[in-house]
Amino acid sequence: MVDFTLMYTPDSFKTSRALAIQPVFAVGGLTESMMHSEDPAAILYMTNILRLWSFERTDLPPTFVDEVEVTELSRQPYSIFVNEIEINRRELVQLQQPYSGFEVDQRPLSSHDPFELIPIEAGVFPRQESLTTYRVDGGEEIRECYSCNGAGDVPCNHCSGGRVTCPDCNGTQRVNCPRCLGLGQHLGARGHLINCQVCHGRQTQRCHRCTGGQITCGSCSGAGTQTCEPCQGHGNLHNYFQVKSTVRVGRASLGRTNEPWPLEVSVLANESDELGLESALWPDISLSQASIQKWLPPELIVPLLHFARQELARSKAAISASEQATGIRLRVVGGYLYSVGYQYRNESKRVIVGGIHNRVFSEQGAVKKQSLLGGIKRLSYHLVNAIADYTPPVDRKYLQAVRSGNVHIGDTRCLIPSVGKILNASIEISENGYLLSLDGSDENIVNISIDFNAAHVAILCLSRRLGIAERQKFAQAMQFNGKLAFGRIALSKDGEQEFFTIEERRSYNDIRPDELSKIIRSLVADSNTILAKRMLA
Amino acid sequence: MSEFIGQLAKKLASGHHDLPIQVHVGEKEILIEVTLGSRKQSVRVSLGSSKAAGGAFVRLVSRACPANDHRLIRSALTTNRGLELGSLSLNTETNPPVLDVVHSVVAEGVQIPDLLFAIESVARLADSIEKRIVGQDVF
Repeated sequence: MVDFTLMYTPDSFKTSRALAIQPVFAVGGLTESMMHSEDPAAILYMTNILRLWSFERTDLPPTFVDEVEVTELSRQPYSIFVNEIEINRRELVQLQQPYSGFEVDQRPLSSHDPFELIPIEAGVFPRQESLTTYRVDGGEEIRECYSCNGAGDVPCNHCSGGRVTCPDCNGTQRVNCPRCLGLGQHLGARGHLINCQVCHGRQTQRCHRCTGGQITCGSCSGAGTQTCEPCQGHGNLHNYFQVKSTVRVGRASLGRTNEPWPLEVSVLANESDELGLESALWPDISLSQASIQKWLPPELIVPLLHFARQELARSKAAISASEQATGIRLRVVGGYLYSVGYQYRNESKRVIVGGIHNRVFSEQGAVKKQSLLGGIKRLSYHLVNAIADYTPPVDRKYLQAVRSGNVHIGDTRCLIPSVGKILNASIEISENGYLLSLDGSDENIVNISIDFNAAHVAILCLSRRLGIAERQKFAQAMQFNGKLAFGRIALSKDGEQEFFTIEERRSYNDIRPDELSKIIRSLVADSNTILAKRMLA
Repeated sequence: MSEFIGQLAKKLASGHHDLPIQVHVGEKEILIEVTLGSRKQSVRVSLGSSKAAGGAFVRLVSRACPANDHRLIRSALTTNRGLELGSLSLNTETNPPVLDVVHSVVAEGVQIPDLLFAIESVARLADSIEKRIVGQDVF
């Protein structure tokens, strides 16, 4: 059982999604109770996750990869309520600008309440605080400029009457002689000190830059005045009103599990499947129970609404007079948590793995990055193994390829990179598998994922979207299925929109790379023909 | 009849497997009758070729049911999304049009156990659709 006395915390280790252990989660899964798993695929993936995790830990030696054994695996669902409250802060400010004779709206302001002056655009829920300014109708007036009293210019603040003291002679009209530098003497041709040949020993000479010790002011060009800055020389100012609207979102989350495992599950809020969303916007920001009932299990409705109302009340209590709560959005996300018991060198330990990126929560929490000493230890371990011709019980090629981002964690056979080589295709790791591009173009991309059927058999799923599905093309699409060498046209849904996709499924463990490459080539060629000839458009 | 199909027919008819089948060799295809409990289902096995796939493939086709209802077409398209093996296709060359279950296997290197598994899966899928839609064992 999980030790309740210690808190399990995650480090930064993450993987891409392995559908074998983190299948796409639906609301129905929330009512599942905790269950033990002896599914070999789940145990294999979990062991590989622990192996990959150990690479990032200084507290786990290199031998861990070869010797770790998952001894117990149990799973339970988790849900996280993510509550977002949109807060709008508004301020009515009076601004001034130079008035150059345009028409002004002198009608009185319709209100002094900034929330009444400009309609609220609720439901934006920006990621970061956003500021928008709105010009308000009416309330405009023309006033004489406070700075120049309507003159348009003001005395120059750098001079007096357009003249300033000469910076070279400081008004003395004399400067040091440039030949003797003010000494009156310098060395002659024979090396003796002689009277200065320029100033004749007077040490100074007349300043050539100024007249009477003063020069023309550079700021006002001698005018003695400068353009008044606030009114830009117009003499009048135009006063008008603006509403400054700042929108921020207060976020809070609450994690729930059926069995109380010792971890803060809400850290997985962004690494979970979205199960449902409810929102209510200004002016009535109360959530409807009737609407939530349609998609959430009954036992979660009360805690969800309680949490949402509590957060709303807390936000409302904290907001100032210039703020309004303008929207509430409540998301429910979820997934699976695994309690993983493992054995390493006769020592039994446990971690909790959860979320679509398989975050590992351990008693030790985060550890420092790999030290130089740790790196040397690992290197020497591998060198010794290489010399001893030791074959580790682990497919290191697969682990290294996953670590270097070349293989998806679900592809334990490194199958798709092999197929990529045969097809000379570029592959990119995606959330659930790969994106394979046949000729490097963005058009010939096939989605490849590895899913598991009810009998826990790994199934390779290839798919490519063909476009929006129109009802009148359904029969035609079905006829094509008899002509395709491989694959079939299917109807898929993305939100409310239906799409035609061409797809193929094969047993992951049985298919050969050369066989799969032929199927992919055929799938792409057939889908290209359908798209080019607009057969289903 | 192609040499490949001839050899395939021989291997399938040799009986070194557990699948209860009867093999009928035709001009261009093999007709296999699969016994599924008290019901029977026919699967036609032929050889096709695809330039894109870079060679030949073995095509398996088994008739499921008449397709008179447009709701059946939508339902078949949706079913195609999650099918693990085979695909539902509309055959309009017959009167009335019918729903077939089709599946292809790369011919090069095809293994008889794999082919038999595919034949059985195609037969089972077609028969289950027929059972659900028609009720009687027609095809």
